[in-house]
Amino acid sequence: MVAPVVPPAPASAVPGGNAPGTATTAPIASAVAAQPEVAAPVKYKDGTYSAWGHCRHGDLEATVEIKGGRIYAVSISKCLTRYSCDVIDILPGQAIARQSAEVDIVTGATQSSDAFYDALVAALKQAIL
Amino acid sequence: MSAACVRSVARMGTLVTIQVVGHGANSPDEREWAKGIDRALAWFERVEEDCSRFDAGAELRQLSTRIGTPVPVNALLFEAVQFALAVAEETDGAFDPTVGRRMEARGFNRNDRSRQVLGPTFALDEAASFRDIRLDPDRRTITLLRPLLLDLGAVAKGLAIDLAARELQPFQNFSIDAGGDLYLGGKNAGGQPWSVGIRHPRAPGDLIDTVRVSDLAVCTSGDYERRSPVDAGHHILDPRSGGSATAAASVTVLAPSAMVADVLATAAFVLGPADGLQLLERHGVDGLIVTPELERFSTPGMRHD
Repeated sequence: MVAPVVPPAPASAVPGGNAPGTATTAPIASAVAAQPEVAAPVKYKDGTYSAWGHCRHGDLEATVEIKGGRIYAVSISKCLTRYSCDVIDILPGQAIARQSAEVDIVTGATQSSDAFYDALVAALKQAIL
Repeated sequence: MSAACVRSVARMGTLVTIQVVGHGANSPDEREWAKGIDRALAWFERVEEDCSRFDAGAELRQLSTRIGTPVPVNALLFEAVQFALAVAEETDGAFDPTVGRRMEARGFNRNDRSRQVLGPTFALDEAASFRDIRLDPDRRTITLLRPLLLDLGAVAKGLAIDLAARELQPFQNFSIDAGGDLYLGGKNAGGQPWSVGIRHPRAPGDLIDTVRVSDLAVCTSGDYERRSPVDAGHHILDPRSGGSATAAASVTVLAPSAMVADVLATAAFVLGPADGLQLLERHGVDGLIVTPELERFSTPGMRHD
């Protein structure tokens, strides 16, 4: 069996700061990747990139940090959706967990969210080499 | 020596990433690869429009407003519904495209009629099931005998993956990742069959198994526990009881077709280890079923890495 890549537990929701419709300065939910043992193909420029995603429930901002050319951390940095971002706080962790240094690719179930992935893709577009 | 071209888009509520890999012998033409990937990604948009958008997809919406009337539908939608119904019949309703997941994240909740996009006068018949659908392959029509919601989420995603894979066949070595449902073509950058990790259902960063595959789809149905106390998550229902399906924590299926793998993974999830494995073996596909107690059941042909 391969050694697991375990991201630290995501930051818990900021008390009183995750109410729907309010902007916060601390991330709503975030996840950080452990350093890989094997170098993976470099795909992105190092740096921190943010972008907005929209859906019928409102808007959210995702922030992605690229380190060593790979996705290092993902967070929901602003939540302006009508329903709490608690519902999708699992997504940053899933985005990180699907990167594994030990295998080419990972299969698993994921939650759906138009806004989060729209924002993540838009942020990653800024980081493309 | 290898090169790769990667692109990601957000489609069908998830992240779709396609990678084409080239090996030393043939010099990579990045422009051709990029165009091929764009054509492949376009299928996700097309399938989403035709099969899985209740608001924008006029045909899917029309079905529910013309009860008892045969409605002509596009070929992709017909193919998706036809396969879904075949598996529903075979599993006696353990898989039922009329009783899908609660789709909170996408704003669809069968218990919240006020968010129905099909119109204020539309009322679901709670007793409806897949048995209330009739297909006419000659005329390519679908008839709903009762008001019901056709949830083609998993079927549509698998179908899109298959169409994208067909588009990429000339490139031989490629990977498609649509939110954790995969198709692996040919070999990886190292010239080996693709190594695929299966996510541990209870430990997000861990893998519970690894397999090597080539020219196969790998799809997973899972009902991972949520850390958030707000349990508004994504539960797979057992259509036969209406309650949550609890016999499995995760099911991964390997098959030449992603649509088949996706649907069978969902069906096997509901059926549980014994009946689920039988279903997979009847279809001649391999898979791994993990129970909530983390017991693992796999088909004999499952080649663990």
